[in-house]
Amino acid sequence: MVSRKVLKRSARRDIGSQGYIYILPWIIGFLVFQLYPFIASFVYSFTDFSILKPMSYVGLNNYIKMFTADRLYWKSLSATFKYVLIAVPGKLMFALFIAIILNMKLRFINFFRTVYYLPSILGGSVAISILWRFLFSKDGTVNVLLKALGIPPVDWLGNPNLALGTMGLLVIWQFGSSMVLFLAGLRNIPSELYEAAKVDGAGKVTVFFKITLPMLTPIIFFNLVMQMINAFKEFNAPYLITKGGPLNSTYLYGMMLYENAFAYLKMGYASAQSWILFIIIMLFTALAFKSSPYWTYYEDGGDF
Amino acid sequence: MKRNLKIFISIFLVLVLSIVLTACNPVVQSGNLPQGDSRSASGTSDTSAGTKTEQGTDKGSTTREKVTLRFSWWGADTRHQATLAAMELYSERNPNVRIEGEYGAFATFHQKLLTQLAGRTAPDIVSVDYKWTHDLIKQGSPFVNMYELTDKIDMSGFDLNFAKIYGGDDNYLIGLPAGVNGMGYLYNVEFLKKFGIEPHNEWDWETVIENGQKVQAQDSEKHLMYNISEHWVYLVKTMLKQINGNTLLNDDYTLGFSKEDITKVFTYIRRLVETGTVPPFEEGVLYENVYADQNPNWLNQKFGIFPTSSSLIPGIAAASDFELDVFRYPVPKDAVDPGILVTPSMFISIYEYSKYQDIAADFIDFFFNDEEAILILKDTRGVPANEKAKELLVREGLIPKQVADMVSQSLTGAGIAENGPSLNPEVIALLKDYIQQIGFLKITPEEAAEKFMQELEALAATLK
Repeated sequence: MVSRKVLKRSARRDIGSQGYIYILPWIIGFLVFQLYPFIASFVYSFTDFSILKPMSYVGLNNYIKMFTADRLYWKSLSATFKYVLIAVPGKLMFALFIAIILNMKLRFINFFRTVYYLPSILGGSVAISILWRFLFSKDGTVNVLLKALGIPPVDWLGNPNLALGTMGLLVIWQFGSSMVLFLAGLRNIPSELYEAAKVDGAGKVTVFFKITLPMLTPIIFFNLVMQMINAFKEFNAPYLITKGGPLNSTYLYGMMLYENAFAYLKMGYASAQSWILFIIIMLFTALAFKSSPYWTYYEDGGDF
Repeated sequence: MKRNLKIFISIFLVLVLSIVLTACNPVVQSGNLPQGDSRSASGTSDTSAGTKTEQGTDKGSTTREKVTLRFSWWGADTRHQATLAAMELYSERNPNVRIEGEYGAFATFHQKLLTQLAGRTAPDIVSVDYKWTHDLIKQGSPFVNMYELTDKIDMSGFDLNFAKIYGGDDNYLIGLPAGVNGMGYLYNVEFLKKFGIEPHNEWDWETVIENGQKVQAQDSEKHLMYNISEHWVYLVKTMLKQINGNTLLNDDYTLGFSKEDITKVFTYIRRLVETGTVPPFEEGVLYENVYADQNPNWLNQKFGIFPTSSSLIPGIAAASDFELDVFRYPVPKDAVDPGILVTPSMFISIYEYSKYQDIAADFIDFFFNDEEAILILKDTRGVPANEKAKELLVREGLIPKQVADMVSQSLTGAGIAENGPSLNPEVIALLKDYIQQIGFLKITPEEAAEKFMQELEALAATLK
């Protein structure tokens, strides 16, 4: 009996350390490429680090300057918030809509599912951004279609009021990953619920709001958090399509960071900005988590 | 024993996996690793070259080792092809040297260069734009001083006084200027003829407006000209020089203009938009960062004049299927300084930490002075700054007439040189912002003038 106990304990210890060895490559990658830059940027944010000059300590100057003396900071922040408000709900709603359609039992439905996932794969590339520019220019395809309907052409990307939405469209168009998750969630809804609803004579709308949506809330929550984090960090779309856009209307936070770091050579300042963005994202994510028990429903009670 | 075997196998597998994954990293550009790493895809540097610690003191022709140099530049296809051909010619003559080109568009070149300088991975031979030399020199300029290479490179054809205006001073020269660029008006011959507009070298700013109105009167969908974002900045700077003979910011970072001066300029910009001389900003802003060859409105002949610098003409001409010609940039008769921007097209520099500085110098000598190379490169970097090269090309009729014309026209009105403070990227971004606000008619010229001056002063103070 004693020997069995000893064997068990050492066997457990064995498995534990073996595990660490297996994930060692990832640990090394994390330490070198994520943890170190993370801490380094925090340190840089208190200096005036610039790529070509040696750095000196400036304390909280960067943070103070950001909020009081940077003429574009608040514009950029408000543009980013507006963008998140457009892109995230837009993407989720669209993804859910397409997922519901793709959940139907049609022939070749798998083919359609693949096709509708394609935009996500193509999405952030330079080619698509250039394509977007051409689609939405004054004589672009969209305006040609509008003309056929008798509507005068619109400056989708040139008008400061419209540019942000048009750019958001590109991101909404890449709804693939959210859609796949919604699809999986839809298939997990037990069909007894639908049958019971049918028996009770509920209409399609009622079924959607009383059964589908509540059962999907965990997925909605997950997608909300992920897409929100991505939207706050958005850089590709403004950089490739509008370069900050007409009158800085699409000058998102990510783009401002980039310009400060690489165009104006103010790495320390950009590091400070990136930490503020980190704090903002943390706040919103924490808010989402805190509010989740009130609106998400987990079939298994919610404990992992 | 079984347990130990298990542990051993798992460690072994992990190690193998790590090695396989890291070794299979595709090397994006050969020679990315600074010290001639033997794993680099160039594969022509053997181990003995890799272990050399002296700073490139061996000339490639004396030792028979294979070396690979990297040369970076920006431009359009015509320049890429010509440069690659010249590099091949050099390799034919010096079989142990291979030169690899790293080229692309101008828009991202600066940031890439800065990153390379920070990581000490810059190429051996680097192209440097005149707008960056001031900042680079101020921050320690990691490029070999050209004055020290007069024995290795024949610089007799260069006007070093012209070179040092933007490239350094009496003691340091960042590189050799590849060409001379002048600003001017490139126009669509058919377009101007159709609307009855006379191109000649005595235009002033009122002529522009008059002709702009003429075009709009005949066809409200067409406009006289289109200015890209960079060009609006040139317009402001040139007009200011014509009004008061000064650069935007003085050398001591104080404002180089008065409120009256800048209000005049901003009012003029607003007039350009209101009279339809330029397309409304909502329409035009999409293409404000690309040149005419990528602007469908130019290619579809929706506007007729594209103010540009001479070195861009070959690229634009190749894309345009209509006849082009040039005339001089507007200069008012009462201008204090004619103001036209004449600059070196780029400096060719040698990276201070290059291992093959001597071979680089030899290649640069070949690049600028060898007759065959000159004939291959032609005017892809503007009209050559080297007198001998220019004469050769003119003799052979290889410089397109438009390019040569624009350069000579601009030289008749060359303005005072730009200075470092006026070329600072944050200053430029601020100016562009205000131009946009005026262009979108969101703000009056007087308001803009006042706010711009305030903000510029505050910004300049932080840049000192």
